[in-house]
Amino acid sequence: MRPLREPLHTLINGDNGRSRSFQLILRRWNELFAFTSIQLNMDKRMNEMGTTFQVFQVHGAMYHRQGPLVPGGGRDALYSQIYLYDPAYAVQERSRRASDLDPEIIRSLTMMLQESNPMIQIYLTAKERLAEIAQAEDNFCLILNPKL
Amino acid sequence: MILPEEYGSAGFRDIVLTKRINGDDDDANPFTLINSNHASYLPLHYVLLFPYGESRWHGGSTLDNREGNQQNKNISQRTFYRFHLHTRRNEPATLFRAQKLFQQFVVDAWAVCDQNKLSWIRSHQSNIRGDLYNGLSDALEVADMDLERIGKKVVLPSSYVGGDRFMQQLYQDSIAIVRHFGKPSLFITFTANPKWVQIANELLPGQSAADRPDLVARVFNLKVRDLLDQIRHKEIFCPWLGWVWTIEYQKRGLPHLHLLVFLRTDNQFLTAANIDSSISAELPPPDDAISQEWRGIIEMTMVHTDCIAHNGQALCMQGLDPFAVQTWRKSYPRSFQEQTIINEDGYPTYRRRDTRQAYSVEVQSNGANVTAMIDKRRAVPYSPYLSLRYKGNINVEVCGSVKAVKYIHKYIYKGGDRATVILDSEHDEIKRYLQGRYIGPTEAVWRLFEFSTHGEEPAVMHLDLHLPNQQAIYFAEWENPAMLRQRMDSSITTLIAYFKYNSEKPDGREYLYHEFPLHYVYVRKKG
Repeated sequence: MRPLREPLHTLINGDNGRSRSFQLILRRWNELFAFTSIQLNMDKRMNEMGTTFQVFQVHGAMYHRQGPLVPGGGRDALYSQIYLYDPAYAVQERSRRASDLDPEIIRSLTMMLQESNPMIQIYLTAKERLAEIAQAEDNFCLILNPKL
Repeated sequence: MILPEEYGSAGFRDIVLTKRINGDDDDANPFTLINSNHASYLPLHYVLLFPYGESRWHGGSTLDNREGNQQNKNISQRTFYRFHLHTRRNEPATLFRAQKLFQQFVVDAWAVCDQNKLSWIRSHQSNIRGDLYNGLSDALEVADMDLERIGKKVVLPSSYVGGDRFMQQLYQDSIAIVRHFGKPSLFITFTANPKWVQIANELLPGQSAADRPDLVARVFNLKVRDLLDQIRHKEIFCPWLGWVWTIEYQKRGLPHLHLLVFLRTDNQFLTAANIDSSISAELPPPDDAISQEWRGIIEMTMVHTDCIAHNGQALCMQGLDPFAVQTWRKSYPRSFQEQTIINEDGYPTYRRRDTRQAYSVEVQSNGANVTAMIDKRRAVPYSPYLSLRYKGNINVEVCGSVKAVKYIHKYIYKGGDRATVILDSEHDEIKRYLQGRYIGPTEAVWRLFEFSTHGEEPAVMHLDLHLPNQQAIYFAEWENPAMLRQRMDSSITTLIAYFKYNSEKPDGREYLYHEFPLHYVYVRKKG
C-alpha cells in the first residue's frame, strides 16, 4: 500500500476536529465515492438494545452491485455513473446528494481521485467504446479483464 | 477491458459493463451483482481506502517467488486478505484507521471467501452426494431411469465449518469421548476482555478495541492457546485426559471459548474441600493481602452486574454482555452459603459466606455509568489462578453429574447465531445456511486468519453402521449404471472389514466393534 495523498491522508490520520468528524462517518464518505454499491442486511439487534457499542454485523449474503453506465429513466447518477461526468459537475452532484457534508472536502477528494484513480479512465473509455459500438444495439456489454 | 467478441463469453471473474439495462426505465432496481472474483472488486467499493485502485486478489494470483526455487503457487483469497491484515512498519496503516469501514471491510472480505466456498460446494454437489446403497439398487432395477434425478437435494456437507451437519458431527464426536471417559470434570467459559493490556498497547492513537477486531482475535487466540497449555501440560487442576472446545462470538463481537475438560480424577474428587481449593465464588476480602489488581479484575468481570443495571432485564441473560458470564444456569443473585455442598443432582452449591461486605461498582446502563452495590451473592464461580493469569472473564464450573453432560454439549454446539428463515419446499441447505448466517468483524478476522474454531482430543474415528447392503456409497452424476454397479460391489465399510477380519482371524475376537480401533488400524486401500 502506498502512502495516501492529501487531503485524504490528513483526513484519515489527522487528529483535528475536521479529520475526526470525517473519520466518524467514514463509511458514508466512502459510499459517496464508491464505484459499486453494496447489498447487505445490517444486523440491527444491537441498536435495538440501545447500547453505544458499534459493531458492523451483517445478516445473510453480501454482494457488490454494478449499475449501467448511464442512469435510466431520469434518475440521479449514482456510484460509477457520477465519475462519467465532468469533475466540476460531479462535485456539484455529490454535494447536492449529501448536502450536510463539507462541500470543500467533496471537491478536494473528487479532484484527488480524478488524478490518482485509474478506474475512472477505464470507465470513461468503456463508455466511449460502448457509445461507438452500441449505436445500433442498445444492449451491448463490455468486460473488464480481471488482470487490470 | 476487452470486447466480448475478442474474449469469448464472460468468465467467472469478470465485471460486465453495460450502457443501459434493457427495460430499466420501469425497473426499480437496475443494478446487477458483480463477481467477487474480480481483482477490482474491493477497490471499486472501498475507494477511500484504496484510492489508487490497486488490484486486489483475483483467481490467478500467484505467490511472489523471488528466490525462484519453488514453483509458483496459486494464492488463495483467504491467504491474500490475511496477508494484508497485518500492520507493517513500512506501510501506512490506512486500513486499520478506518474504524467502522475497517469492520465492514473485514466482514466483506470474509463474506466473499465464504460465499466462494459455498458456491464451490454447490457446483460440486455430485462429488458430495451419497445415496443409500439399497435405495440405489432399487432404482437401478427400474428401466430407463434418470441417474440425475437421484438425490436432488443440495447438501452442505459436514466438512463445511459452521454448518448444521458440522455442528452435529462435533456433538456426536464429543458424546463419543464422554462414552469413553465418563462425564467431563470442568466446564469453562472464557471471554475476551477488550481492556487487555496486550490489545491496548497495540491500538493506534484514539482507537478502542472495537476498531481493531484483528487485534482482539489475535490476542484472544494466543490466550486460548495458553489456557489450553496450562490445563494440559501444566496440569493446573488434575492430570489431563481430553477435552472438547468451540469458539463462539457474542452479538457484541467478542469471541468466547466453551471448554469441557476431562480430567483423571478418582471418585473422591468431588468433595467440598477439593472444589474450594481451585474454584471460588467469593469476592476477595478488602483487607486481604490480595492485590487491588485482582479485586479489580474480579469485580469487573466475574460479577453479574447487569442484572442490577437493568432491573432483572439482564443483558447477560440474552447473551449480549461481554462482561457477564454466559452461564447455563441463571439464578442470580444466589443466597449466602456457609459451606460448599454437593447437591443430590450433582451440582455443587459453592461457598458464599456472608461477610456483610458490599462493593460499589460502575455499571453501564443504557450508555450511562451507574454505581451499584454488589456482594458475593452475585459472584460467578471462577478459578482464582486463571482469573489472575488472564485478567479476563473465566467462569469455571464443576460438572457434578452425568445429567448435565448432554445439556452442556447441546449448549456448546448450538452453533453461531442464526435467524430462522422460511423456505419453500426445496431442500437447499446452502441457501438456508446463507440466509440465516450472521457475520461480525471478529468472526470475520478469526476465520480469515484461519484460527481454530473447535478442538477435540482424543481423536474420534467414525465407524460405519448399517444393515447388510445398506452402506453409503458416493457417486458422481455423470457415472453410468455399469460404473455404479462396480462401485457398489467394491465398496467396503469399517463394519464389513470388521466382520471380515474376525471371520478370518481369531486374534481380535474379544473386542467389540467400537473397541476394535483402539487395538487395530483400518487401512483404506484404493480400488
